[in-house]
Amino acid sequence: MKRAAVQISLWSGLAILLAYSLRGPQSGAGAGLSVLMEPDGTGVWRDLVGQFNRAYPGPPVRLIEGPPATNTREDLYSISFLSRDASYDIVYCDSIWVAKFAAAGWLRDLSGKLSDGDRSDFLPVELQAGSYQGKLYRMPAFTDAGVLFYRKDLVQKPPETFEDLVRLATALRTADRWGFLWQGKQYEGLVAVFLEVLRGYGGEWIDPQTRQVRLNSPQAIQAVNFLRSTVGTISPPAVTTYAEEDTRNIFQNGGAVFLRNWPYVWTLIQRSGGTLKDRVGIAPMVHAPGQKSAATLGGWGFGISSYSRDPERAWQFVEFVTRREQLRQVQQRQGRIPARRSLIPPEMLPVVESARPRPSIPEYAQASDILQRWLSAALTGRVSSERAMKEAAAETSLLLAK
Amino acid sequence: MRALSKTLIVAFRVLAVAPIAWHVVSSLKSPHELARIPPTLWPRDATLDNYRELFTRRSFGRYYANSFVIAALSSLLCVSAASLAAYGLARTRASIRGIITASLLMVAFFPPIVLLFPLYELVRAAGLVNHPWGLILPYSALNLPLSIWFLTGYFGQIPYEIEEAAAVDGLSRLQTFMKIILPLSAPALATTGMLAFIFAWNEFMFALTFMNLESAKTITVGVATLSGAFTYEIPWGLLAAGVVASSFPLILLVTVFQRRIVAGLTAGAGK
Amino acid sequence: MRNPNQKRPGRGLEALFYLPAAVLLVLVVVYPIVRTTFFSFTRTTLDTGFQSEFVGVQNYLRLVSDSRFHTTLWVTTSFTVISVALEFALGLLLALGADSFVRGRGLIRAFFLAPWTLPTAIIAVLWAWIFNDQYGVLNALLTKAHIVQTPIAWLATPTSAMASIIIADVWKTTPFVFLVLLAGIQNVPRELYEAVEIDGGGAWAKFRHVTWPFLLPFVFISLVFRLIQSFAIFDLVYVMTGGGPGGATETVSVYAYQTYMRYLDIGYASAQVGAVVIILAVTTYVLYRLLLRRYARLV
Repeated sequence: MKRAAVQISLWSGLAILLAYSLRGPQSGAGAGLSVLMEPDGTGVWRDLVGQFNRAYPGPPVRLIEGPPATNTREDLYSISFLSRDASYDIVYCDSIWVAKFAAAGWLRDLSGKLSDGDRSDFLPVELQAGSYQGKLYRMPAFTDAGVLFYRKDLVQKPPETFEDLVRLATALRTADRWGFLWQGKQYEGLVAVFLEVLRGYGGEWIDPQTRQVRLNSPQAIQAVNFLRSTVGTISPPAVTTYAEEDTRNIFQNGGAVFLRNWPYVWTLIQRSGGTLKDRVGIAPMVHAPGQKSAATLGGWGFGISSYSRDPERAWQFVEFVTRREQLRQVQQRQGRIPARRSLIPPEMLPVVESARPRPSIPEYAQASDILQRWLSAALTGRVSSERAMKEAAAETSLLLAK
Repeated sequence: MRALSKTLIVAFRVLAVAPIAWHVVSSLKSPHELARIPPTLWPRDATLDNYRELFTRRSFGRYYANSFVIAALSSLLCVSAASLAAYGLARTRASIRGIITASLLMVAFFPPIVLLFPLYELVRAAGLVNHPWGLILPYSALNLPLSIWFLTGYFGQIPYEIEEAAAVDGLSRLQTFMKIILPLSAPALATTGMLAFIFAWNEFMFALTFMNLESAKTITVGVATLSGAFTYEIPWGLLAAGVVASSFPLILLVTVFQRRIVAGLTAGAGK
Repeated sequence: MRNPNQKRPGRGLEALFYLPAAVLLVLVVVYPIVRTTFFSFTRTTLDTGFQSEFVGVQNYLRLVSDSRFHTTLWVTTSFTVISVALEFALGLLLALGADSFVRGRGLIRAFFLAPWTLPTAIIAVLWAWIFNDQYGVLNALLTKAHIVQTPIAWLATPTSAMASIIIADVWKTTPFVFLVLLAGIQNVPRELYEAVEIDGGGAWAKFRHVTWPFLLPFVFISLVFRLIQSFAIFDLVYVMTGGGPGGATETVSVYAYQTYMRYLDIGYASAQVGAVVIILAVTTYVLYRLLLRRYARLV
């Protein structure tokens, strides 16, 4: 009797397990679309998604909050696309992912969907950053460009050249105040900073037309040497471990004269209490005499997955969330600069319009990783600037060779 | 020498448990208390909020179910296939047995990453991405070599007389296997199953790659990839609760079956 | 007693016994190994639309000049050697004095085993919290005991990050090594120890002439097993440090995984993985010559 009971429960247990396992992949809570976003600290994205779902009844769009690190979200998207599964219908897309995702066929072509009004309102550089081989794959939402923040109570006229910057920073540096802060940690932000210095000297990383690597050049070595020379002198020794927030915090607490960072810092400073907001000014990044300032272009936008089961609905959402009114809400609550000319604060416009994008190549992730590693080695003194640029150039050429 | 050893054993016992205990304590603290430096030894205002959030805002119940189903079915499948093969192997000529056993152990020689991409291709082609069977089948296979090796040793010790008697009674090979050998080997089968279950529960790399939908994730991947709600803050309380929640079933399993598990692990040594 | 099965009819059925296991193994293990080997000789990337172009040993040659691959080999080797050495040293010490363990109560034994049964990925999370520079309990204890003045940024500097993953790995695997060695020790015939005692030998002599030679086969097998596992480590590093800071803890598996999933360079990643297998094979063979041959000589 007991034996039978045990047997029956075991077999039914097995049956339950099998039934569960054969249910097949769930597409989530009913038919719906999802988008993987950065962490939504201010809640503005949740609100926007809610607004959309209410205004346009239909399959709901769901917000999935991903990890803060952009690399990790890129990998999450990649893993999902590789599986040809429609885990994410809408792609919250960084500019540096566009080439890779588009080349892999993971994003839908949105070229025909851009209205004329939008075409003139969106920043041309952002439209281009969202395109690959002439086709548009990402609708712009936000733009970003590296700028130089400075203490206008200490500095009358912001520096224009690298020498001016060093001169002023050295003169104004005190025991409690560093001269110049930048992001020197081994991550994508370092590449953004380096490019500004490199291009400010007239150099280039990878030629956009020919894909030729131009890293092994006097300008590149000059750029590395410039950054190296700041470590421990006008910049803290730990600058090689700093990311955006580390440098912003120090600057906002009055700990530095100059700060290279992204425009979101401006918004946060404006909103902070205290007198700092009246003592800070923005200027374009410095450059070598005879060259031009070269802010690195950043920016995010929305694309649609090729594997989405409801691309029409996905487009509805993308079109909605990149409208003026919606972008304005995010601008208000998060301080990001929208990619629409009509919303960009006038003081930002010149910098943002002339910002220069990073190479739009499918192998960007690997090229950036190579550059980051060698830069970090040079900046921490483990290798010479010459060797770093030579090796980085060699490895990148091997990577891009056909 | 002895005294040193004994002290070390006591020390290691404490060290083995302490980190887990610390997580139990941490999981009961509020975010406010977690940010205290230095950390408090006991939670001042103990709260179950972290666990609550795990099961409501995050799909923890789902992760548990997925892990359990995948681990249970893969260990069942593994034990079934392994016992059949081991029985065949135990009754084969010693020379052939040696070759087969050696080749099986060679399989354990290849790190899982060697298998990752082609297996991913296969799973994808079979439409099993984000599907429990996309992990159940691979896990059963990966546990086969050691399971077969272990069970072959065990079956080899069953005396031939039993099978002779069965033959006399007119039972076929398969019937002998199912009605006589298997029940006799229940302890060994249980051990094998348990080790296979633990392996499947703990596996990370394939689970990370093959399951990207929230609803399909296993608990190990779920905890390891828990992300915060705020851009630069890591939810330590939530993570601690996740660690405790995902470890709890395993510790329970080990507590109840520790004798078996130890026997399974040290099988090779007992030769 | 002769195996009655060999005389019975229905020998063909024997093959069926092997069938389920064989099918699973071919699908999940044999085929992928062959395919990875194939990929390693091709160029299969995003650029080629994931079609495979045969390129011979080009990927392997690329490995030779890949500084990042060299670094990961170095990291993986140091991690493996240090971790496994520590595990075996500790495991051996524990096993030598472990009679009490065998008589211990179930619950205590279970807790002892707990580190080994937990998922490595969870252990990574567990130790990351303990090693946290600001809120971690380790720094709190160290500063309280005045062993250090300022909190150590465990996961932020190369050496300490390496130490952290080694500690976590040793914590997890020592119980396993301990159990295997213990079982080996308990199989040593008592008479041999008595023989040494009669000859006037002490504890060290017993160890050197009896325990160690007997343990050697178990040591060899578990050593090889652990070396392979350690060299292939992925979960711990991926979750705890991501390979950072700046690649200081990046092991070969993490680099290969990145090359597959992030760079989408399937051919090259397959070559990386192939190189690992070759290295492991050579190492095992060398160890076999060094350790087992010696054992054969002693007995």
